[in-house]
Amino acid sequence: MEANTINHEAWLTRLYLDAFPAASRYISKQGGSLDEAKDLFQDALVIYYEKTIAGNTNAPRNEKAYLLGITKHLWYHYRQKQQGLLSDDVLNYTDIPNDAPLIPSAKRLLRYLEAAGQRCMDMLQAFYYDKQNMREIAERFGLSGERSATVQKHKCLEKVRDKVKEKSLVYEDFCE
Amino acid sequence: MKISVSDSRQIDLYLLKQLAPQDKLLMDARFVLNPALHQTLQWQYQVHVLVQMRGRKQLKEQIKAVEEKFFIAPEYISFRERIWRLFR
Repeated sequence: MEANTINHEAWLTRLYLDAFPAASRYISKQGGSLDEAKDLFQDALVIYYEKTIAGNTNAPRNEKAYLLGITKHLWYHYRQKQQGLLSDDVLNYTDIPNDAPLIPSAKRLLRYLEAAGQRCMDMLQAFYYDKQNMREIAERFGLSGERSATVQKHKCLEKVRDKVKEKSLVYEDFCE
Repeated sequence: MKISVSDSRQIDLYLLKQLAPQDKLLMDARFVLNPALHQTLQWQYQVHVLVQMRGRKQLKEQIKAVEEKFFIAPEYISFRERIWRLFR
């Protein structure tokens, strides 16, 4: 699938040309600025990617209308938040439950993991975020086949998990 | 504690909510009986969260790069003028 590749540029370019004018027209009519339109449309694209493309569900027939719908929804919540009607970050569309254990300075931990092994992080991201299957991962990372990709992914998971554990246990070092 | 490929995979499926109800129940019981396995679940969950954060951050950077192209590159001048007109 077009979006489910390493470089999303062609996919994003097409969606931007198709849907951003309509999203901008809506935000403008509602009294919003161009910067607000850009910010909300960026979030709409992320939601679209995570919910439909990477989620392996069918992409909607009319992507433009779908993206406009998400933008309208985000605008509504954005205005509610501006008016003090919502205290939570409504753009926090992640499925992470509220009782999730806190990660000590996730940003710092992520920087450390990047430095410790970008290839492993790329491979885990391909699987968990971009939802690529093992055949695609094998191809992308130059591995001999699905089995080899499965083993490599497991080793990467172990390595990264151990590093998270190690760094989380020395909590003080990873607090900002 | 060394975690087997199979347990890592089961934990993944548990976190991704892809286990059948009976298998989820079995994993819940194993987490209660095996504190080390439960700890592994927590570390693995943190990896999922971090990978999600990283993926989202990279996607946002790609979106911003594409957006910048539309507002800078000469070939998109009519597109951006069309957008600017909406906010005048």
